[in-house]
Amino acid sequence: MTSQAAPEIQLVDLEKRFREVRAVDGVSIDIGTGEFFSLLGPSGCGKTTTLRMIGGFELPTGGTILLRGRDITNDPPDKRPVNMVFQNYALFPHLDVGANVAFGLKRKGVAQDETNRRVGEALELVHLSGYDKRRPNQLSGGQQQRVALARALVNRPNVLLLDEPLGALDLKLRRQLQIELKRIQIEVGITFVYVTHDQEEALAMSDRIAVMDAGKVEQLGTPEQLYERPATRFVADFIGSTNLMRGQVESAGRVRLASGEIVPVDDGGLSIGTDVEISVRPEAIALVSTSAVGAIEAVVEQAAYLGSTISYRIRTAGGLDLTVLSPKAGIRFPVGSDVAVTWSPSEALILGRGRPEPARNLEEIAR
Amino acid sequence: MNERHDGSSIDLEKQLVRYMIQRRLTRRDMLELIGKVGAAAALAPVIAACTSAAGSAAPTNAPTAGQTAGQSPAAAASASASAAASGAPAATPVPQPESELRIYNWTEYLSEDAIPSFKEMINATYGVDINVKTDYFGNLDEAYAKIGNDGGGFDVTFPTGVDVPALLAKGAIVELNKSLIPNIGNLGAEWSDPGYDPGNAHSVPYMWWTTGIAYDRDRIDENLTSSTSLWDPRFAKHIGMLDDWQEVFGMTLIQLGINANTTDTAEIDQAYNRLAEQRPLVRVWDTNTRRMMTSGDVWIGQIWGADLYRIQKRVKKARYYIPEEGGVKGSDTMVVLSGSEHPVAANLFINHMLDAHVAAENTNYIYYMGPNAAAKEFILPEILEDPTLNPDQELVARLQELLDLGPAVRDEYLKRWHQLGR
Amino acid sequence: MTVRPTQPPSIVRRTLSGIALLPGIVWLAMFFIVPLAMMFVVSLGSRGPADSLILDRPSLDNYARALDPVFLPTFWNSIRYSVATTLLCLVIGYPIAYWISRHGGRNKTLLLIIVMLPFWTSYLIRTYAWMTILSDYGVVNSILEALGLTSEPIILLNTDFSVILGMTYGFLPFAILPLYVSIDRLDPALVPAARDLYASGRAAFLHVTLPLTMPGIIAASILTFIPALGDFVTPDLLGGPESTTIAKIIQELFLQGRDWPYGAALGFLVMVVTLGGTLLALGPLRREVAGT
Repeated sequence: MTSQAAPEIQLVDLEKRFREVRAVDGVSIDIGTGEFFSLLGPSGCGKTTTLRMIGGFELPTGGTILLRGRDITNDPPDKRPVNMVFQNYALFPHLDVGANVAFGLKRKGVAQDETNRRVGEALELVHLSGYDKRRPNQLSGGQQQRVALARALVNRPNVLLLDEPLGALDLKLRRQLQIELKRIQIEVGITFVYVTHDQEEALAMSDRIAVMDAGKVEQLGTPEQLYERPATRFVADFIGSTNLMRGQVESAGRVRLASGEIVPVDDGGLSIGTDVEISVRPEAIALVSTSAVGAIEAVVEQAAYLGSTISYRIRTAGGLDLTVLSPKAGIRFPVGSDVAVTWSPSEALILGRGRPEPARNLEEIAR
Repeated sequence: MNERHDGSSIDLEKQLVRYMIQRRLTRRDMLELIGKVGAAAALAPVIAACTSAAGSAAPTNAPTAGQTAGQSPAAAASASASAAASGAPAATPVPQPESELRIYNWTEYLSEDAIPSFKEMINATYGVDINVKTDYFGNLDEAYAKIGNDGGGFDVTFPTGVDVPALLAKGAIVELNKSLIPNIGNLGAEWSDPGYDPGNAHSVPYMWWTTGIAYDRDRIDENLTSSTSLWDPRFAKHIGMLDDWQEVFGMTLIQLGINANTTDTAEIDQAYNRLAEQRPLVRVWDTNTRRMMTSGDVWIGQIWGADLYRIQKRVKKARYYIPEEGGVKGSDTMVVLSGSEHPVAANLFINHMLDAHVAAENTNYIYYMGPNAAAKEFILPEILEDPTLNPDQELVARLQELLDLGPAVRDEYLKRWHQLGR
Repeated sequence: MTVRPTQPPSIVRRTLSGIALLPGIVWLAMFFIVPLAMMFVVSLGSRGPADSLILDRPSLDNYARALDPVFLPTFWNSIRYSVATTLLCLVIGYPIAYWISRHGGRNKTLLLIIVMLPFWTSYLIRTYAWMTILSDYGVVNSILEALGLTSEPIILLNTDFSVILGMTYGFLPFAILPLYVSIDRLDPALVPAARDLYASGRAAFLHVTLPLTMPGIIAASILTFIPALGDFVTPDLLGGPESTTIAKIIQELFLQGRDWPYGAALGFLVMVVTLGGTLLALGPLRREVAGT
């Protein structure tokens, strides 16, 4: 849901250099009003640094940050209509919950009655009404996170920044709060910029995601775009799981793999002989009878029962390993059985339309 | 009787001491010098003086140079015995010294020759190999605390004359055995019957000094003579006084023509008022006169006379004078402590220190004048001629000693002294 | 975040911890409580003839005498020197502790050692060093004259200035360490959080850092004020005639006046008044901090 109006936040060629290392290297992103936008990537990719620059806690060494068209690049945090939920919540231990939530309002000089009213509303929003006299050290992790959220939202900022807020919580609580956060964001209607390394989380909550690696944006798109049409090997590998294969274009819609098999691909109009890398999602591969035409023959190496699906690890005669995800309702193939797989051409994406990754290629060559 | 043993080593020592005094060197300076140029180079002039001055070295004892030059009680006893033998019946018995003596003294307040010569004398006269141990103190409060009411395990100590009555009242000291101290006759007349200890019954004066005023001739290019110079507004914030209420009040009372030991509170108030006038002009109160006078912050200060020579090492043009209005003198004494387990040795030691040569040696070494009239023959002329150390007899007679005024009067002074503190 | 209830320690454990405390208790009793008690007993006595001590007629007379207003000026001296020293130590020590904590990085320990280094030399020698520095012909005046800024020495030594300078210098490490500990424990995300919530740098310090480091500030104040109150060596050496402290007076009563009961009474009085005053002043501060 990309906004067509003027973007809420514009990052233009943002750079953060620490001596020789470029933690953030030329990032340009537009974030629309009311969007739930995520920055997704592994540790050290620059997503948190980018977020901190938006919040004003780091000064960019290059580029600009615009908020509704206004240049806020060098503004201190207290001058930005932006609030942050910190990774470890950073609640003030010497103040009770109510005073914590009221902190920002007090600093802006909001009158006492209005402060009280808004604090009450904020606590209600996060389902913590009546907790205002409690101390932070008396709260559970999930409760602290919600107080941090209330403390930020009570100020009605244009943008809320969230720095991996659910990282410290267990899985079940995380799932619950993901739903909560999404609900709150829709209810309040403000822009969320969310940083996480958990791609499932990002996919579940975001309107759009920017996948980052080594300071750069690999791909920016909706969850579906990223999943279905990863632009680079990195994105394909990072989002969900996938099978990556290399080979050469044999003919239109067909690629001969390095391991010898000929497989169907989504035709991109490439000339014969081009080197390509293909990505096929495990759930897109179908196990068929060995006599099917054009199917690749393989042997089941491993079979794992995942509850709702079964994950097979199969190996072709040419030595190609593939992961296949099958619904459990179908035929079960025991380890060692001969199988054949196939997929529809549209499921096999040709990668490499993003930046080249020399290091990775070297690895491939070595292998 | 007091013959020198092993003349050569004593001569060298004597020459060394003389050399050091002439050059105004302290022992520390000497060690530094040796360290820098080597023992041979440093000591060369001394050795030369030794060999050339063999004749005019410290005077040797003429054996029969009179009873007053130096006697031991044994000699006196045998003299009286031989006199008695010619007529009277019995010989007086000779008391034997114990085998140990414990001394409690200031640091650097006894010549290095005193104890060795004492041991030799005891050995030669009584055949006793006496063991002498000395402990040191740095200030009187520490010393008196350690002495307590019975001497704290010591035999002989060196309290200030003023404190003798208090020590006596506490029972810390005992009467001297004058039969063991015939050399007491060597004392100058002005010292033999002090106000604090009539008839020298319990103490013998050891060293004395004056309290006066020192100033840097480089900064104050005048001939000062009065203690009112310490009140001179031209020297504001460059005036120093001793951090000692009795000395400060003493000098002030004398300046006002009042007795330094007055008990009249009205007179004490007069002194207080005078001191209150001075207070804004005073830079510091300090008993460490060397520190007070050598930093350059104080141009004129109240000091004890014997400290001048140390001050002059840094402040070349330092001059000392006793105020024309009059001043204070003080003395240290030797006493025998009540808990002494070696009273004979103690009294003999005191007698030994009163010997003319030993006393002269002492003065030449520690650079304080002694009260020993007979010793004056043997004291270095530089010391005798230095008016700082050895002022005019007539002036000395006019000086007052500060006495123990008793707790009630002391409180009156202290109350006003404390009021000056802020 | 659940709080697990702790079980009461076993008998064995309690006995062992009691035994562990024993040396400390014995030491405190022998060298602190007993001498204090002895001093109190002496203060009830009186001075006899020949400056002896009479203890068999106890009375509070000495305390009545000790309330003499003549002591107020010197008592005031002691108070104002200690207060000035404590405030200066806090004002100077806090930024230093803050800087070491925030920017010390790997060198934090080294920097703290450097702060403590002067303690490895004798307190007296450091005070003498100040005399050399501040004297009319000392380092400061020589530099000023060499730079042509003055033509005559400025009187720096033997003044209130030199006393407070010397005392502050001597007690600064006492202040820096507890401040450092308190500041270092602060969650580094709290100040950015406050800034994020529209607090200026100053407001963030006032509303977050200061209240949370208050325990350190209180500890630093106590560790500075109380020893400073008893320090009479520094005012004695670095001060002039008007720098006399009540401690000096008490010393003189003991040694020159030889009136131990009087001195003891005055000493006790001073101790009680200042201890009481300090606790009173800390009361509101402690209550404010109690919520932390």
